Amino acid sequence: MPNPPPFFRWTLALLADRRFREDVLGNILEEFEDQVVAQGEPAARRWYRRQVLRSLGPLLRWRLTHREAGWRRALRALSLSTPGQDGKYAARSLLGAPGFSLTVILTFALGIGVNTAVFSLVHSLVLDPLPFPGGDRMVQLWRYEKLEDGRRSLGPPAAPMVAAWREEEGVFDQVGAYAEEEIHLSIDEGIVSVPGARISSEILSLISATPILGRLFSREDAIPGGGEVLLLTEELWARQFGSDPGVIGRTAWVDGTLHTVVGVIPSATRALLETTFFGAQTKEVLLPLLTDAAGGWTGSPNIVARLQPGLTVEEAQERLDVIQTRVAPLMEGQSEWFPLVVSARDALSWGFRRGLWVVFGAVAIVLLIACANIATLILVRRIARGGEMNVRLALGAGRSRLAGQLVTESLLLGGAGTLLAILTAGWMVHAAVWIAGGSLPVIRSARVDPETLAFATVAGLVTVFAFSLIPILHLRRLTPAGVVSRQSPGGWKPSAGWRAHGSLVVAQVALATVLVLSAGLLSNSLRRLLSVDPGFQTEGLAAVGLNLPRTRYDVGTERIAFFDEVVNGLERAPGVRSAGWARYVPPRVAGAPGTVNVEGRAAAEGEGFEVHAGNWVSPTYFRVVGAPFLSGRPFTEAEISDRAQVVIVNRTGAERLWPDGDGGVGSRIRLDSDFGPSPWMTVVGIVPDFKAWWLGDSPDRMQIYLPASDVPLRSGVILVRSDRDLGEVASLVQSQVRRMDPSLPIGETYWVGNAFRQSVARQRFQALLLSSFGILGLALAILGVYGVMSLSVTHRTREIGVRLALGATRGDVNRQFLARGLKAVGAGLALGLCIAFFAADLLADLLWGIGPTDPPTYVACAAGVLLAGLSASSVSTRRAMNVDPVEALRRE
Amino acid sequence: MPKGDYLAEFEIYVMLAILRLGDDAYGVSIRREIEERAGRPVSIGAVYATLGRLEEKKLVEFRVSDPQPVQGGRSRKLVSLTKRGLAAVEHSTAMLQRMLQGTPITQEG
Repeated sequence: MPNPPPFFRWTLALLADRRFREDVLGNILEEFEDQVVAQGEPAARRWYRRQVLRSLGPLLRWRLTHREAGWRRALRALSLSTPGQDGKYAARSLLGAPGFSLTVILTFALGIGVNTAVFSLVHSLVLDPLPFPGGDRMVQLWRYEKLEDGRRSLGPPAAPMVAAWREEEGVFDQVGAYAEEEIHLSIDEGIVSVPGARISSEILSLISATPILGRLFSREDAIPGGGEVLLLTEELWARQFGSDPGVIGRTAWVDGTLHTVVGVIPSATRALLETTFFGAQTKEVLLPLLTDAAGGWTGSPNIVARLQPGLTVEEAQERLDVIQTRVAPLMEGQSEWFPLVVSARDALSWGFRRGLWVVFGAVAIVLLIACANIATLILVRRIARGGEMNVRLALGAGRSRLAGQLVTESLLLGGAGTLLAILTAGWMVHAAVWIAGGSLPVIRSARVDPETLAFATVAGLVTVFAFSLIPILHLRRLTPAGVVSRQSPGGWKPSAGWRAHGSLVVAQVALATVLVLSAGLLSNSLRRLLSVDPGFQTEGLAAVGLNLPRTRYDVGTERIAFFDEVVNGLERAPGVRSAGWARYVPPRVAGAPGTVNVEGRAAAEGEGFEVHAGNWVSPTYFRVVGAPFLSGRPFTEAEISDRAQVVIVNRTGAERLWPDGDGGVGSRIRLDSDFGPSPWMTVVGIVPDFKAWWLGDSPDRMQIYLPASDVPLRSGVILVRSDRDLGEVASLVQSQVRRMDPSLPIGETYWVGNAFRQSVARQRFQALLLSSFGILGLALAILGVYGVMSLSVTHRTREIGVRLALGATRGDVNRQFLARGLKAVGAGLALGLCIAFFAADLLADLLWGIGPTDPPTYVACAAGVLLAGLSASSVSTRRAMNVDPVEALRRE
Repeated sequence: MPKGDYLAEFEIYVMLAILRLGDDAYGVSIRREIEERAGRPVSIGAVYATLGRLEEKKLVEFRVSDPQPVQGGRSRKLVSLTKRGLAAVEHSTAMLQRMLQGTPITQEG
């Protein structure tokens, strides 16, 4: 069968849209073949040509109105255009220098990617309001009192204050309250110990919660006996009720009272609750926060509120201060309490905002170093290609065309770098959430958000644009004659070049020095923190939480007997060296109980010595924790069971109470707490100082210990010192507990030493973060030093050759280059030390045990930077020593 | 019928041809049908451009036939009217008929 006219077939194929090209060609071929059979080949060919010519119009019109896919067209157009050719050329030229391209792209990715990640974190921690409507208006309402040393002691506000705030019009939209509570839930069989909380009905509406089943709390639920109800979380509903939709109306025992399930809240609401109010602690059951007859909340709950739209935190503070003048007379013994309004977001990131900004600063410095580095790399490369540019100029390439190519190359580099930077950022945010999510609840909502993405892109493109300018400016100096003249490659004037590159080196080293110093200070501070002696032997000491439900252990003596029995059983168990119990164990001591007065010394109401931490301990407590008595003795069994009025104080406490040494064991003191003054208690022992709250606890604080009989001790800690591992200890304690009460679960089991190490988790995180930045910054700076020094050597090869030929020794040449490198590094180091010295105060808050201008740290860091700079210079100058004078001169 | 589905003359020809051809409507047969019945030369390009436009307006749809039962037989891209296409062609021809009624050129053979 003959073929149709090829030119016309080709024309048709070119014109027909991709969508029906095959069909048109197939159809016309089919008819052509029919025509050949019917009328012969020449007629068929004529017919074919006519068909194609007639099809031109309709197909062209179609093509004009129906463009093919945009990217394909753009790509084709681009590949034919000047930018397209530039792109192809740039890609080829960058692929031809993979080391250079990779270094620039990686520098980009690290500089911009890390920056974006931290910007994202700062954004979600500091800038982003809480993720629900009105979250930016949410505030925590506290009270504070001024302590003698000028510090403020914070706490939940008093009932009259809260009542006045709730009545006041025009300040708050809504006021809510919440309190944590360990809840013992019994469902059908056995007791489950479930972490729960009591919340007022407003809390759920503040975070815009909706139930997945049933309803939320109403105000009526809060009236005692009015409605004993509870809300389940989705997880507990699934675990305990198999996600049964008929759970509403079922009952469960909560500490001896029957409660009705009224609703189930989704796990997203639970997460929001936990993050916003409960420091990321798990809460699986919600009970209504009860109100008293007057409608006020019982206990001392935490108070949150949503400000009226348009009201600032400062204005709200002023309003509350005014209200306080009215309320103060109603508050007996608490007249020195003042209201405090804190934005909820600030409260969430309390204490580490400063750290965050420091980290942000560090990242900005890394970015700057990265930029300086990219500039250096681009310059180095341009020198290397100076000859090529000269040749192309001589061959007739326009300067604008060369500039266009340089821009395209930079854009390609920047684009790839930015892309990698975005990936890096995503990965880093992910990692930060993973690392810090546990200790830092707000960080869990951190995401690389669109704004940050835009930030990264703009940062990337601005950097690219700025750096593509540098070689373009140099292009002006190029002349076609350069290719044949003795002009150095790229019209480079050594003196000017060294000045530019030298200043880049100085800047990079200075910035890196600041980073390394900050990292050094934080690491040193952390090292000191970790080497702090908690005051007792934490190794091998395990703690097991135990909570006794009020329903079955209502009488204090029963509870004490229970704890005693468990401890006695444990002491007999194999592998256990000693066991004891207490209300708390450091570093998880919960409260400052009040102030202490010494018998015989007159003290006004509210005065006395402030107690930093109080604990209620068993007779064996100090033996188990391994703290020797400085004088006196532990409590006796009899003192516990008889509720004797005895007390043990720490060394600092004794020194403060009796500075002249005229008291101590045998003296009597009294504790004034929120519950009023205690009876006079006889001091029976003095023990060493413990770190009560965390490793960095200030050393000179008073701690007191009361007999464990003295409090309504429902929850406590069993302490076990043994050679066994943690799981074995837990099952030992569990079996002892089960022997006495088969349905009682044990609480969290942990090593006390680990708890102390965790108490510095934030410091560890900051030190780790800044150290990574320090290493990153230093590495980039070293790369910069190396790049510039290499450039300088390359550039002066001829000069070196001449000098060697004229009799200079290689040592002379090497020394000269080394001196030049060291001068730049030294200048950078000095500048960096100055900056760090004057910016020292910014770090002061984050440091523990050392000052922000700690001389040993400065010396060590300076030595490190100098050494790094020296090795970078010497590696690059080694090339100078290897220059062959004959070879160098022959190049001319 | 939504506004904007007014058909151009050649579009009506193509759609009527599709209706007439039924299960055998594809590029070649449509072209021949119009050429034979309307007596005017039609190019394959015009047919496909029109079919493309009609497909975009969702008035026709394509489906691929089984290969032709001869050696090396190709699959054909068969065309049929959509519901909307049917409505559009009915509407347009009805309008045409109403307009033609009583005009002097209405000389039905």
